[in-house]
This record gives sequence, C-alpha cells and structure tokens, in this order.
Amino acid sequence: MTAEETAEVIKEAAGCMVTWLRRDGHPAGAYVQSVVLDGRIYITSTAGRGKNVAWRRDPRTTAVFEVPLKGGVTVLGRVEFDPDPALRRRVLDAMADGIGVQGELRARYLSHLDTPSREVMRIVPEKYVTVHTGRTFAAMTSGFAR
Amino acid sequence: MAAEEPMENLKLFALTEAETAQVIKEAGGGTVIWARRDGHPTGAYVQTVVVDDQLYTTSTDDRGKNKAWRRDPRTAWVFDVPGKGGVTVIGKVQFIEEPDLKMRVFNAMADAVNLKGDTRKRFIDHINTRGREVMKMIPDKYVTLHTGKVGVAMVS
Repeated sequence: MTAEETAEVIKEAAGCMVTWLRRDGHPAGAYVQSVVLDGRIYITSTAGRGKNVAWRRDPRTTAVFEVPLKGGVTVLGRVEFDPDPALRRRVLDAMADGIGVQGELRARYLSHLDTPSREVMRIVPEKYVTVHTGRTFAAMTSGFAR
Repeated sequence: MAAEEPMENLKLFALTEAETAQVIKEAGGGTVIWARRDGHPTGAYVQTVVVDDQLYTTSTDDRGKNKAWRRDPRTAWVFDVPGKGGVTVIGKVQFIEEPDLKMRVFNAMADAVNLKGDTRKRFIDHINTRGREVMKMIPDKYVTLHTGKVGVAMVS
C-alpha cells in the first residue's frame, strides 16, 4: 500500500489490536479504540491493566489495523506514555468524536473515560507492513499465478 | 472514584460462552500474535474458521509467525465484531498434519467467503500449495468484552 493508503486505513479503522509481552514471555493482545492526531496514533487504557503494566516494563508493541477488503496495516514499534493534560484532553475528545456522541451523551462518555487512572499512549512506529486486501482477494480468485 | 468503578471493572461486561463462540464465528478473521526471536510481540490479521468447534487458521511455512510458533507455540488470537463483542483467546498453536482436516479447513475458508464453482476452485488452488500449514488454537483462557453493553454503559 502507498503511504497515503496506509494512513487512510489507520484512520478509517478507528481501532486496532495492540500487543504486549507478559512477564512470562507469553505474547498477548487486545482490541482498542485508536485516534490519529497530528499524524500520530494514540490509544488509551487505565494504569492497572495488563498492557499498561507490561508496556512500562517493555514498550515494544505491534498495532494491527484492518479495514475489510481495503487494507491491513501492521505497525511495529513501541509505546510512549504521554502525561500531558492538554494532549490527554485532545485524545479523549477525538475518541468522543470518533464514536459520534454529542451533548449530554458526550459529557457522560467523557466522564466515564476521564478517570484518574486513565493513561494516554502514543504508538511510535518503527516499521509498517501493509497488504492491500482488496487486491489480494481479487488475485486469490483469479488465475494470475497460473 | 465511584464514577469510574463500573467502567474499570470489565468483568461486568463479559460475554457468555455462547456469545463468545458467536463473535469468533461471525468475525471470520482475527489478529494472531507471536513473539519474534528478539521478544517483540507481533501480530497479523488472518482469516480464521471454526470446524467441529475448533478454531483454525492457515499460513505458509516461510512466514514469520509459522517459524515463531514452531519455536514457541504460545499465542493470543483477538477477535472483534463492532458493537457486539471482543474476544481474546490465549493459548498455544498446534500444527495440523492430517491432509483431510487441512482440506476441510480450506473448504470452510472458501465457504466463509461464499465461493462457488470455478472461483472456489481457484481460491483453494491458491491456498493449497506446498508449504501451506494449518494451525489450530488450543485455548487456555478467554478474555471477553460485550462491547455493545460497554457502549451503552459509557453514555449512561
């Protein structure tokens, strides 16, 4: 995929699967909401969660984004915790925007999200692996390899 | 802190066993995870199928994940059906050698994308190549989240 298509998939997916390594070496993962601000990928979770604890120990991660029949993007990189309150507010607002809540619903959503243990993490990419799944599927059902 | 308690106790939003099975089946694909030799936890989105209540995926023996799982079969497979549920299956991978079972998995994959006739044949021909391996998930633990209920709770 081109850089533009890759960015489009990450933005359109609005969520991704992130990985971490447990203390015993078992690789683990979970699906999380993600937002893109100023060209950077952000996710959020609370301090006591396994992934937050694991990333404080070892920040290496992979984020996998998928938009069916459009593209798959795997971002290999690391997690950076960012405690900046202004950034935190922008990330939480972008998450509310992402699910389209407004008015009172938005206020309730943000009050549930904006808790003392909430942490904001940036995924710092080191490498992208991409696949144009639309083209792959078309090729899989055609005779191109014969 | 009172306001945050319900949302931060995700056990309140677990899926039932039947809902978990439904999310895995309906997702039709998920992200599979492995650890690289240097310990970096890595993942990729793949097609998955359920055959006889067992969960399978496929890939070729030259892929990073296949090599990694031969070295260390520990894995997690993550499924998500928006607004319905998220499931993380933690377990280990078992490589399947039986040709009949492998062919059933390929056929289930063709069924999942509704392929018939010539298109189906081409799809299976492309899958069923030398080096193609079929892997079964042996689950140790399920972590689930009823995202529909979470969504409602987040705005209530």
